[in-house]
Amino acid sequence: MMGIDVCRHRVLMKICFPIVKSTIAQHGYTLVELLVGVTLGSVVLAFLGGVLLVSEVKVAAKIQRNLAAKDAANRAIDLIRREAASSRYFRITSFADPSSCSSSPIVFVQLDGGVICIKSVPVNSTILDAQYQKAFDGPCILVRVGVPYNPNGELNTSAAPIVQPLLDGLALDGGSCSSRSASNGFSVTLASNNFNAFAGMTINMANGTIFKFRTLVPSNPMYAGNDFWNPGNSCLTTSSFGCGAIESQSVYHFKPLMQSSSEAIQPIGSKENVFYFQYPSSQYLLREDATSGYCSYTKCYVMRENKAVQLYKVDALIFPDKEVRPPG
Amino acid sequence: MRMISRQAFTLLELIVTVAVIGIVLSVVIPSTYTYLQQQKLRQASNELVSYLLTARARALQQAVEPGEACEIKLDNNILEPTNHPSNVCYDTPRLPRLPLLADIGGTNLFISSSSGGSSFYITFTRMGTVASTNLSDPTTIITLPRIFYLSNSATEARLRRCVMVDLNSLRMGWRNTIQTTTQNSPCTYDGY
Repeated sequence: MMGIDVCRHRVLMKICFPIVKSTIAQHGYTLVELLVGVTLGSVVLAFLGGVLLVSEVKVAAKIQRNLAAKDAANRAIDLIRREAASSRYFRITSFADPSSCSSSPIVFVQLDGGVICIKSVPVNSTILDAQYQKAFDGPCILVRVGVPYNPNGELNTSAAPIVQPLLDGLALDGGSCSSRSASNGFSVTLASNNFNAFAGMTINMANGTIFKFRTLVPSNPMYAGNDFWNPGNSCLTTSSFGCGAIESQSVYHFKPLMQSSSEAIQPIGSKENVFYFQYPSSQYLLREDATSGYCSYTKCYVMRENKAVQLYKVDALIFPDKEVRPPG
Repeated sequence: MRMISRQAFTLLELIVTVAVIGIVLSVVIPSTYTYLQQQKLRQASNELVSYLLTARARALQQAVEPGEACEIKLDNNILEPTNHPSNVCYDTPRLPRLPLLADIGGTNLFISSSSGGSSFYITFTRMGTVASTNLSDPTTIITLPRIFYLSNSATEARLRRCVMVDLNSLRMGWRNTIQTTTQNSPCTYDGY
């Protein structure tokens, strides 16, 4: 016991237990090896993480682009529908068959004396402003050519027509962006020849997506649907339309403002007088005059809420949901 | 005499290490600052577009009668509906006031427009289109497209976000060139 206690002394410990140099090999990594390993591992992980991250970002961006493109297409379709639904038909005086025309614009909508043309053009078309050419993708682009809007929602017919891109990335087919071929960037077919014709419209995107929709477009059976097509090329003026010119619209086609109770429209033309209204027919009350009677060809009083219009020589009343031809 | 080996960094090693860290930081800090500035501008342009889309939706939903529209004003980085009697966005529930600078938590935000001026009106018609004039300023014709430039500097803006307001569409873009005398240098647009 005593001997062991003595050996506990720090100086004597070396005598009691002589130091024997360990011959056991130390297996392990040096600090440098660990640092190099950690660095290499970090580089590899960073590379893999980067690849995965870039891939994720690319997928998210693609989804975002697709959603944005779909949203843009919906907005374009919505505008075409709204403008078409509140438009009037017109007649081309030369009465040419649009299919025989060499020029290509497809849809022509006329509203409040303003002309609106929807067509697909090359993205580098000279009718597009230079900044548009840089901002949008080709090969084709859907544009609206027509006058802009006033704040009250009516077309500013005193303003100059402008070219407004509605949708880009439309397909090119056979060297043409827009024609009557269904495979083009934008094509239209007319379903019927009633006053309110359903037009089938197709937008072919360059990425293969196809948007198809139907919209109500005023068209007069008298013109066999030819009033629906714009055979001209520019759409920028109402006087030059290539295959034909527009007959005076203000004489035969009317869209009452309905902003007062004393409005009256007395047509002077000898052709069909057609009156267009913004809301469904159920919202209007039809009489002969402000107090009594029935709406007739000679005289028709149309009332909505506290606004009214007195019409004369009424061939047809066109509502978004139906057309009415008063007797007489 | 026992020679004890002292393992430590030499002065040269320390200097090299500090120098490397300094170089790395000198690259990382400005690029991080630039990135954060870019993100703030991106956020501001997103907020602007979002506000415009909301205004457009309100015009489509609530502007029913002729003459009604949704008009908003952008002045001093603040978006809000005007108090014009035909402005449906001023009706209850009113489109909320949006201070862009405070919203993005930034210190600098400069917005200019391709059509000039210091405060801007945008009017959405009941058709959802951007009007060629405004309710509050019916005489000034607005040229479309109208492009808003958002930058973090009034004069030397390397970073610049662009918001293109067209008749029927809104697009966001950017450009990284130093501002020149003309503000209409082209932007690269990255989506609607």
